[in-house]
Amino acid sequence: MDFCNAERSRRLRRWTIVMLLTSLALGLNQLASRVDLNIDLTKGGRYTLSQETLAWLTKLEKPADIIITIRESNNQPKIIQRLLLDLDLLLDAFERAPSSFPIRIHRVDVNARKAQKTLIEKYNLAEPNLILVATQGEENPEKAILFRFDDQPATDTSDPKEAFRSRESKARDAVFDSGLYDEWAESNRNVPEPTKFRGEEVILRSLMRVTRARKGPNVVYFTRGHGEGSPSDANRDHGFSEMQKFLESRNLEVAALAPDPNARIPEDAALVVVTSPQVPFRAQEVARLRTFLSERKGSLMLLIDPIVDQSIDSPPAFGFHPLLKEWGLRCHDMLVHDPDLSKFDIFSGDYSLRTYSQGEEHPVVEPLIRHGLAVYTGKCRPVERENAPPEQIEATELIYSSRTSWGRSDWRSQQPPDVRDDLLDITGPVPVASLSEKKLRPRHEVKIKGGKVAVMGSSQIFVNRILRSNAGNRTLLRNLVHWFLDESEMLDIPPKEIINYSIKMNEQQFRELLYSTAYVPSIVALLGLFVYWLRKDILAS
Amino acid sequence: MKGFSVILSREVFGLFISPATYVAAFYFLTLLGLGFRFFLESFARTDWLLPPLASLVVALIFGSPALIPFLTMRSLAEERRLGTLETLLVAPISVTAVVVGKWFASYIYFILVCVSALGFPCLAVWLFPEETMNLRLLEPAQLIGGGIYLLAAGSAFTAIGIFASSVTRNQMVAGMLSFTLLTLHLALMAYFHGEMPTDTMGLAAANVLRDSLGSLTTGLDRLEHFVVGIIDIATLLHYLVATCLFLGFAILATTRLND
Repeated sequence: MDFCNAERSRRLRRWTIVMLLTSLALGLNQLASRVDLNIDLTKGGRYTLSQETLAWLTKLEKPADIIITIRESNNQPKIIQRLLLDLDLLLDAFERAPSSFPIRIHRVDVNARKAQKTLIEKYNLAEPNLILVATQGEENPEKAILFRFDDQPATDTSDPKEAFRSRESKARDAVFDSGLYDEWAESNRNVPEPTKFRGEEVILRSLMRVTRARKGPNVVYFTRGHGEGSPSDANRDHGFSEMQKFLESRNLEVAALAPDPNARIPEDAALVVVTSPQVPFRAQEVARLRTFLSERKGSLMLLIDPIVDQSIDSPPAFGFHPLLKEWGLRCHDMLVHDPDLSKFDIFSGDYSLRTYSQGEEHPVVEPLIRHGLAVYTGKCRPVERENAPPEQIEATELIYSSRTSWGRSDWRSQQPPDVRDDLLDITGPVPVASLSEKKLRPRHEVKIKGGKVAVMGSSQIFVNRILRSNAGNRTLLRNLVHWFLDESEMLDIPPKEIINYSIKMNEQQFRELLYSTAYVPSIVALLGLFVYWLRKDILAS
Repeated sequence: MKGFSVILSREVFGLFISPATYVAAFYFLTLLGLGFRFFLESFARTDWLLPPLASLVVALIFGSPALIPFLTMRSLAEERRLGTLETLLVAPISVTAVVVGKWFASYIYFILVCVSALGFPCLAVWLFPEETMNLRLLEPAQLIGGGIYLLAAGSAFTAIGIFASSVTRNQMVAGMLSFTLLTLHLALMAYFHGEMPTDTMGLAAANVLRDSLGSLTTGLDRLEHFVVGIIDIATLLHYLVATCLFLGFAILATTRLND
């Protein structure tokens, strides 16, 4: 017998077994990874999806991807780290949940273009700090942006209008805008912190929006031809590109509406926006908007500024006066004047509006009231509700100027000192944003949706600079879009309470705790000494 | 497994009468206690996202390369050096029983150290019940979740230690090897923590590789789930596979003597 060969074959056999065992382990790990089973031990199933979410997930009509381009790092603002942790647990539950089509979660580093080329190209990802919901496997996937955080060093130190804002503060604003957290309260470190997590509801809404078949029109048209502000204009003080960005993040398209009075408003129009016209609309142009509102139950948003250079014979409210009257609204040619300087931002000079509709809160301003947020604007004009609105019209005044303010009637000619004309001026608080809705009530008092009109007495409310820097303005825009598109599909998903871990101990107590930590190792040391003594005793005997 | 209980009782007895294990446990728990106290102090200044119990579990996991080699390095290497392993193997006891018995004894000791470490939060709650109320130190979901993760990871880590002890006759070499393997395991876990998967070779291939490595790639991510009270069965299975693999290697290395 050749012992050399025997030894060699033994070695070969051993290494074969090692290879087989390793392969088996890798294979078993692969199988184990497919076990989608979690046991949630927390009280009330904090990290388990609600029954309602599970039911909705079975109604998805397409598979979906949730893409996160936020990099996990300790350098991220604390609120972003919290968001990532909360989302990690929640998205895991969404990925595992039984749904009609799969939901996949992707974490993408947009800077690693080479490594994650497929996903970056598929979803045209260029921005970091983004959370996106999109449909899978389509050439032009439907997309909705859940969260966006612009982490660029924002402050232009040479611009006195721009106040310094820390990264933490900007991140908090971005998180607030996303609506992922709710019920913000001041923490013991004097910064606003959320107390409720609404991630489950927000993600479910986005999934439903992108994956379920579109039920209606989805294009927002901006009128052109009257010197209006443009949605593609990135200018800080006159542009509306931030508004466009927001609308696109809601999976809405933005397009221009040609000033052709004979053409019908396109069938895919969900909303028509008029941003700061400089010349009046002609009667035919108003007529086609009237048809859009009344016959097609469309929506119209008017952002009307007080214009100085307007001829005396031009029609009131840029030709919209008769249309607004039909909708129970009135837009005065006045200027809201407030002698109280504390109502103006010290850096930008923007005017703050903090007074909201009294009595029954309208859903558009309810979150603003709840969080005590102000809406900022530049010069603005009153937009009132008619005392006796037409039948079927429900008009609501949303936001008012302060009590110290008033609506100046002959504001173009008046020189300082400012004197109130008790006969012609409107006493404060003056309404500067109002909306109106047509509710058809056929038999049995069942409300059927008609058209919707919202009028802001200043286009500055949604201009780039103010929209970028004020959470109140962004919340107002978000809620208005919700209201226009009737996105109040009721979801009864309770928000999850956020647990904050804190300790209240003084120096002396911490010192006592330090000494007390010696108890545990001391017991082990005593046991060791006892065993040592016992062992010596046993060995000696 | 014939003779498993005999080996287990002998090994447990050996561990409990060895002063080295007490010395190792003493130093380990002292450092852990100090770390825990200073971590608790940081809750007064910083908003930590994870519960304080998470820090204790992380400390036990990342401190295990300093503890486990002391528990396992002697088990098979010392037997081999003294020549008693051959004697043991000719006795009517299976190799599997020898290896598993020694592993289980070390594992029991590891669990006892972990249970002792639980004394720190208990002490804090006992001495300062009101001050530590918001820390939720004794929240059942977190205790059970963290405990289960420690049990799972500990079983794999002690199996790695037993494997290191089975391949050499020098216990110092076994200790160093065990320390190196555990540190490497933890370093890989830390490296893959929060890492985004690459799709250069196709997302599917990258995912297959990631899944196959099991707890090496996802262990630390899943730890965050366990410490808040979510038990991830896949992670438990991954650690079970790792335990069986290294015990299998240890059995193979020990069987070599019989060939």
